[in-house]
Amino acid sequence: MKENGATVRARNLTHAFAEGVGVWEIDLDVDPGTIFGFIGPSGSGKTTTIRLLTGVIAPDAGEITIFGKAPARFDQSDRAKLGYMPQLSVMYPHLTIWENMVFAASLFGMGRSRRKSRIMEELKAVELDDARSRRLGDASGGMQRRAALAATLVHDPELLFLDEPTAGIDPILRRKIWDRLAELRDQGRTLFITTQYVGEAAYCDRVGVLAEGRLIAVDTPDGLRREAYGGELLDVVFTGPLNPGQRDALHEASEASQMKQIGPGTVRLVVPDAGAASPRVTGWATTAGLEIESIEPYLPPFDDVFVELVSRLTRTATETESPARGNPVMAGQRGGDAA
Amino acid sequence: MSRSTGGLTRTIAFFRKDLMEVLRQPRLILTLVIGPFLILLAFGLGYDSSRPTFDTILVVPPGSGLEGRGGELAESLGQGINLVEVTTDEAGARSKIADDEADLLVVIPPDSGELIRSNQQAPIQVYHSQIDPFQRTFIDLAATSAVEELNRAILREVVAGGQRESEPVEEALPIARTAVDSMSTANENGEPLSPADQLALERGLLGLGALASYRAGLGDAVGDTLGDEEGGWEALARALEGSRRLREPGATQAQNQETLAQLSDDLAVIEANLPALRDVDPRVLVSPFSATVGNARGIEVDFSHFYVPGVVALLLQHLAVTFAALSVVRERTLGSVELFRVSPLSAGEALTGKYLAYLVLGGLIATCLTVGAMYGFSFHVAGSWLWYGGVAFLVIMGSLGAGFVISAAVKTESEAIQYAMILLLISIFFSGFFIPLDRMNEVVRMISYLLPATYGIEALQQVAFLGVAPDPLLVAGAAAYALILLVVAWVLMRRRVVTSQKSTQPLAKTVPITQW
Repeated sequence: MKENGATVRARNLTHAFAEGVGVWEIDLDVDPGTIFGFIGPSGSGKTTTIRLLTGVIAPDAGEITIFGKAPARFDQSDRAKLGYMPQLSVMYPHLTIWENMVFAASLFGMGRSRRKSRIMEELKAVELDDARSRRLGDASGGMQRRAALAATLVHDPELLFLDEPTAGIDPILRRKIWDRLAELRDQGRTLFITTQYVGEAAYCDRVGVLAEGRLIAVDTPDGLRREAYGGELLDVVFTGPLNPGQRDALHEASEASQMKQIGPGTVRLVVPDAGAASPRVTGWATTAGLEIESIEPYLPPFDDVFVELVSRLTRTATETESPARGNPVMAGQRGGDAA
Repeated sequence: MSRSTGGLTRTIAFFRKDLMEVLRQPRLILTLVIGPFLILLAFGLGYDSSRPTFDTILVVPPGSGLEGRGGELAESLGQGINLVEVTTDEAGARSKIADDEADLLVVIPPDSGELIRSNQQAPIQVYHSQIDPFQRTFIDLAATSAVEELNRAILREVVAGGQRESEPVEEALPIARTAVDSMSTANENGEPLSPADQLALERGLLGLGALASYRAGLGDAVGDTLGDEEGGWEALARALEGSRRLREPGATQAQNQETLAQLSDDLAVIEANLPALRDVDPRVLVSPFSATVGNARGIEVDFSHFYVPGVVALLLQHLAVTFAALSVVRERTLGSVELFRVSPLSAGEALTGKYLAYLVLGGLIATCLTVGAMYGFSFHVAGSWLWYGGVAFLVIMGSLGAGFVISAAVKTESEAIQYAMILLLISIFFSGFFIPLDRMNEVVRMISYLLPATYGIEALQQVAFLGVAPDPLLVAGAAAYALILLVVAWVLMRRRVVTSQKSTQPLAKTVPITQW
């Protein structure tokens, strides 16, 4: 992990609420101008981590620096650079969406003249400009979530902590929100986002996977795929079925660590590099007198990637003690089987 | 944007947000403002502040000496007694009391005449069936008053009888006067005093002896009040002594002359006093003093007016405590506090905004209540409106502080409302609203001064009724109270919105990986 230049940096971050409840030994770096996705099941410690990073709660142990400074030592100008969208709605149901936006903007010191245009801009971005006079309590769950996102962005923060911003939102709007977040990233903002929708990991530059309060993997989305399956996946479709001898020869010629027959003439290979393996497979097929219908890398959906990662962890967890009770799961999630 | 401009923006944001939040909840205002106000109003309008009247049965048994005179006695029983029946049947009257057909049973002892003649008081027994200690107090007062009225009625009869007996005394006086004149003439002429004249003088003075008995019956205090300014009683005593000296053998002419001259003067004094003694109203003789009560400050405050400052102070306290506590608890349960901790908000900015919002709200409510009382109950503030507003301001400030402190101890909005209601209940009993503070012991009074309303009620009453500035100690106490709680509220707010917390509760429970 990088030691310098990270907007968010955590080392050995630990906070235990009770025996087996909390987060332990979190190490992470979030580079400027990137989206860091924090993925894990409900109760895995995502919100606790975000509360630690924002300084809402103090850690039991470990170090955090945001913009090179510990959150506990933040002054008002440091805080003005942060945007935080908590997991639960923290807006006021008796106020209108507009009034809530005004309050959020004012909280960060935005004066009347500046905030009006910014509020309209953000409400338009989440398609709530027409509903601005509606009381928040009368708005749907999805509208409330969008309003909360707009309120978080209204003061144009440099670093955003978004705790499950797309929870309860339909897939089309989720996609729009991710487009908006990508736009913010492209403008140079840094985003730390938690989500339960593992498929959303694909939108992130780097992804951390949290389980039972421990960070079990941090990588790019592609890196996580490789980590989950032990390499890249290459699907090869032959015009006819392969006999057992041909399958063994293909396994050897492709230098695949794993091979799985997924159809009569179709195999999926786990290889260190799909680009390098393709010519080897094509060459072997020509030599063996077999005709290839198609050969292309397979990008499994992140749902499958995480199921794979988790299933490996589950096996490890059942075999040994849980990490919260001192079992090193991290060791178990490295390497492993392919599909 | 400068730091101070940003701070002002945040303060105004809290002011506007807290104000709007309350105004957008009319049911909350209805429950918290109009609810307690209507309860107190209904109580004020429905409460009968006059002394209660008790339906009474009077038992006058045969041999009591008062039988057959129930009707006369009924008129004498005084305020609070409504005589519904006079009977000789004590057992029957008791069962009526037990059945709640009457409130009081007054039983004259059957041997009362005999007891009084033997120089003993006759005990009148009063029975009731009340369990309410307050009603019991009123019954004690009414019974004591009724017995005193009975005693006075009997005494009035005695006095009237004495006056009737004084008429023969008046007839005896000319006899004594003629005898003295005759004896004086004889003595001046050097003649012996006539035994017939001496006998006539003694007869006359014997008649005056009845007057002496009458005086003894009235008692010295009453007698002195009536006659001694003119020396009536001394004159009678000297006359009796003079009559005795005239009968003594060996008295010289000069001595007799002196005695007779004194007798003549004494009879004149007795004659002058006798009509006054006879004509005076027996009621005056029995109850020579009456009382009229007036306020030395020239102020008369009726019940409905008296409670207006108390209602204003109590409601202001209740509302400020509730709104302040609810405001903070709501932010905590919503999770807004987390956002505040991440934002550049300072505790002072949040607190100032909240104080301002609820001061404006409290000011509006105080104005509405006071104006309502002025038009609805003709309530009038005799003193300075500036002081009236100043005291209301201090009550709201202190109460807001109390509300913010309470918010630290509660977890939910319903808990906050319960605490505020408990504080209201405590205030009704201990703030001096109903029970004056000086009727409480010192330990309990310390609780009183932990309530902002305690300062407010007394200070507002002083401003409204006495028309003076409130006691400086009260103002200083209220200001110190508000200031101390402001500091405590600031410390608590700082812990909430600024300092990173050593959280003891996760937002969600960690799920074991095997349960994914």
